[in-house]
Amino acid sequence: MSGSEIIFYAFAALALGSAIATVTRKNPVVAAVWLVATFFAVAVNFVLLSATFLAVLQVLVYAGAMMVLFVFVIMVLDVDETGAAESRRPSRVGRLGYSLGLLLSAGLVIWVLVATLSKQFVTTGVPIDPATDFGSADSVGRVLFTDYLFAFEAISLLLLAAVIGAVVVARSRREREKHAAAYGMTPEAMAAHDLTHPEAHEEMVDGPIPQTDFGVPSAGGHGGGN
Amino acid sequence: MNETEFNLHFIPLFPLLGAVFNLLFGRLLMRSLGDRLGREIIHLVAIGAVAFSCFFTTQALFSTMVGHGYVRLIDTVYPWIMSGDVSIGFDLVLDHLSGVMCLVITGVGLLIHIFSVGYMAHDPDYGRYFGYLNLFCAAMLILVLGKNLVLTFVGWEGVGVCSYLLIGFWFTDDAKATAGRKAFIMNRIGDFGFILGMLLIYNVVGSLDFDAIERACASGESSLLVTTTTYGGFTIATLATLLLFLGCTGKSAQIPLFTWLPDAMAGPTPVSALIHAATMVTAGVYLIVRMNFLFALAPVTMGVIAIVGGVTALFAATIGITQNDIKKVLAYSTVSQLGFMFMAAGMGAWVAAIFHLVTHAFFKACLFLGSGAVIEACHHNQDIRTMGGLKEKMPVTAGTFFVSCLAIAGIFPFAGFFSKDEILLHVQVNSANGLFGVGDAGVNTLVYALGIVAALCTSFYMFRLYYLTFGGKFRGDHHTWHHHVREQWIMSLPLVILAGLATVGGLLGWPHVFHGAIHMPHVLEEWLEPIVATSSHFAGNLDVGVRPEFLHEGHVAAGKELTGMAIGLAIGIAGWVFARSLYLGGPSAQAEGYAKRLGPAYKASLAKYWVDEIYDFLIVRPVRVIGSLLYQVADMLLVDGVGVQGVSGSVGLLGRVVKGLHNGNVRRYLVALLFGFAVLLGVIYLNPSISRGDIMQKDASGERVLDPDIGLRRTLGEQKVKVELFGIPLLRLGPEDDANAGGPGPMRPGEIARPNLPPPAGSPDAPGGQP
Amino acid sequence: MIPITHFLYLAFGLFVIGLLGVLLRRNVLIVLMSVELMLNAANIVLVAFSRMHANLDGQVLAMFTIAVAAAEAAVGLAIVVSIFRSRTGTDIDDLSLLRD
Repeated sequence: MSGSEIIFYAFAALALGSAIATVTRKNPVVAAVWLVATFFAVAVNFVLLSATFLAVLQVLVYAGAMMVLFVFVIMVLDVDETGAAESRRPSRVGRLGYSLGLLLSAGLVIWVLVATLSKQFVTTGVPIDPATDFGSADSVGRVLFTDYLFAFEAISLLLLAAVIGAVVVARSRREREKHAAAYGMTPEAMAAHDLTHPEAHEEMVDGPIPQTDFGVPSAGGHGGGN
Repeated sequence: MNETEFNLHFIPLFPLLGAVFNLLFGRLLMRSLGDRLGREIIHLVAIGAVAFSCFFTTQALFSTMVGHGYVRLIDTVYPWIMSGDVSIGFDLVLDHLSGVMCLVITGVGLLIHIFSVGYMAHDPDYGRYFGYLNLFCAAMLILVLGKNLVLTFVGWEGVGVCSYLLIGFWFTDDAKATAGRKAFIMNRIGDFGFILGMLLIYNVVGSLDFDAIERACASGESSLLVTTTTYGGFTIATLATLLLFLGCTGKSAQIPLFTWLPDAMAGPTPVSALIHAATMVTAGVYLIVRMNFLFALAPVTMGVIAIVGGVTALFAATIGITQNDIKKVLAYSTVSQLGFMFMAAGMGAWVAAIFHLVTHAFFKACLFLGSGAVIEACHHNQDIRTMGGLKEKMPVTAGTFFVSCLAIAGIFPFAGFFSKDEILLHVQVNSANGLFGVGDAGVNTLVYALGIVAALCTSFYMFRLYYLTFGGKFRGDHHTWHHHVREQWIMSLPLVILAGLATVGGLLGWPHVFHGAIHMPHVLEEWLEPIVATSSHFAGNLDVGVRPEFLHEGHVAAGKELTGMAIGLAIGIAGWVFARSLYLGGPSAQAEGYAKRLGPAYKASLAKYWVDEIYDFLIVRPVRVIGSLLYQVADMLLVDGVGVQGVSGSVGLLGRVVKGLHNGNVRRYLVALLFGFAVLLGVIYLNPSISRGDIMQKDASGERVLDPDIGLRRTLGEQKVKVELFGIPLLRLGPEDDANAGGPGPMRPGEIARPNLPPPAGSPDAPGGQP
Repeated sequence: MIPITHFLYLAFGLFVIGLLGVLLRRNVLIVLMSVELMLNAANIVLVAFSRMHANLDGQVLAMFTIAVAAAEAAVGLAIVVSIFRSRTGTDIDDLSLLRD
């Protein structure tokens, strides 16, 4: 067993194991940490496949940025350790249908995947000339900015739209809530008050420090009557 | 032909604008400016519009035609319908015939507008009334000014609509609304014939322009319209004219479509005077005279017209004798007089028909307006049995009414005498010469007899009406007599003018036989000569045709003409005297005695010969039965049941079925998604042509071959993949030939080997070489 | 030499684990994480075949997948935040707004 094989099997096992841990943990924070481990293991596999630049991206984007996002959201939401309450149970018939559908569907997918992989598959690979820099940032960049330029631009637009969308969805109501909470009012009443008494803002700047749901004093929630 | 362009569209335009103004702003004016000022503006606009039309028509006629040599004026307003070969222009023409009609419409219309100011003074829908009245004038002017049949048809329908609107003017009264509908529906039957006739003419002539049709007819019996025969051996001319005449019977209330006109009296009385006596109902006569060249080519149609006219004249007159509603008497009188006009038209006496049309417009409008004044004075009571003695309080009305009675009865020297005698003279001459369309002197004599008897009846019922209304003592209640019966100058003025016209109108057609005494031309005959020129040429070639020369000296023996006049005058006076003896002092015992002695005949006449009931039984009820059947089967069952509710019901059912799936549970949606994904995957993997990635392409020779460089095939190369799970073959990939033939043989799993792609051209590399 | 099949086994394993996570877990956050797992599995397949053919297209496609996954995570988490505000819960079974 060569060195690369040892590395592969070790990290493949790590990836699978931490993936299982990810989906089985009750606490989302723990699950997120296991997910980071999975991403790292996958990144190592990318290196084994000569995709060095992609491996770096995997660590930076996935394990870095996105996981921070996840953990941040989890922290912000302050979800309790036991997860959601078992408030509403589906009916017995509904549960039976769900289980049957799940079994059937998952079985079908697994069957096809197993069928594809179980016995033989192509095990050939094109040899790579060590002189070429297959998988480096240089070579990937060349392909990315020539053949896939249009797709690249489209993806950029998609990311922009996603950022704006995320901001709108996540912040619009929250700002109003924070603002209203500072004065002990509901957002609706606040809006009505703002409409009828636009001058009231100046008087109320020096009100009590608003308390958010998260127990953190809001620094900019009521600054200057925004 | 000597013609010129002229801005004729102003003639119908101004009433149209007046109508638009009054219909849009009439109510607003009365609300915002106050009742009195609002009414003032409304009727000033309406009267002004018609007065302008009248003035403009007169101006057009006298500045170009009379003494200036132009025979007609043309106004090509704009090309209206352009589609392929069809080209129909919005073209107006003012020639001698439409000139006469326009003068009658605008002149009589103007007087009736003025009269309406008094009659409708207290009606809340003042603006609507004058709007409709102006709209009618515009439509009627388009009818007579139209240069082609389509435009005439537009006007024809326009006046029909206005008639409907005005009959049902007080639409809150169900009977009146029903009368409006009846008029409209009966006219539809006629219009159906009109359209068919129009299409038939278009089919042969290729145009609906009157000039084009006239040119097509100019060659007389050798024209295509006559030489082409169609169903039943009729010539196109005959069939087309019969269909057009069906339209005329609807519009002009002839048998069999006359029953709407008496019911149309539900409208305001000035409307009855304008639409249902003076102008609209004469549209049929106008149409026949306008297309005289075509009708002259259809002897059979002419016969039918004459017989229908004669029978209608007598039939309606006998009903008129027994009616007790003042307007009903006048309505049947109108039907009867229209019958006289058609009688003349059927005899080819176009000029006489128009002559009677004009004089009838004068005296019948006067009679109707007089009855309107009476009805207004009697608190909208129309029963002549409760009137009487009104002469005392309404002398002007009574006088004008009497003059008009003299005119309609054909007493010398009033207008009706000349026009009616001209018609009867034509009938008499034609019957004597066997010149009638059917070529049967006997039938012609019958028509003549019908005319004579109808004239006698006319004289009788008109004077009966007069004496019952104005003579004797008042038979109504005293309150009405003392407080309500009066005359208004605004209503009397038109009466006086119309009575004057009814008196002197006969001078338009001064008979040649009188030339010895007073030499005066037959104005109308000379005036209309260009109109009837084409059909005059047919005379001698055909059995029918205008024979203006009959009326010239030398063509008809003076003695014969004088005899005819004497007979006409005698029956007129006879009817008068008889009516006077019976009704001078109100309904007499003698009259009741006659009624009793006549028994069934009297009852039949009083019940209008049960024509409405017969129609109801023969047509209305079967149609109702069929209609309700269709309603139940086609509408309720098929359209509503199967079509609408069936579709919506099945959709609803489907919705209820699939509602269970749409339960809002996201994880269940995910399972469904996965299931679909799994099925798709299965389909792809189990379908060899897809799983092999067989992407076909065309080679140089056009054969469809597998493209080796695309899809899974490229991935697999020449290898075969066979998947078995527990000994069950699950998947087969790769070339379809035998597993042992070709290929590099089984490979050890886990080995990365060189792919078995075909080596590049010129490459010496052997397959399977290790790097 | 690691056979390419083994990378596919790894991808398969990750995909199935992610799939089961999506289907069975009721915590929205963990469902989102499971989706990331599935996307990663797809990435492994792309990169493995890319290596097999010595063709960079697969890697570029994997980069796009990462970008789309980032966008998806951002919007998905934003939705979770706003839902959490109005419903105070992250149980996916409570999110039955689609029904109404």
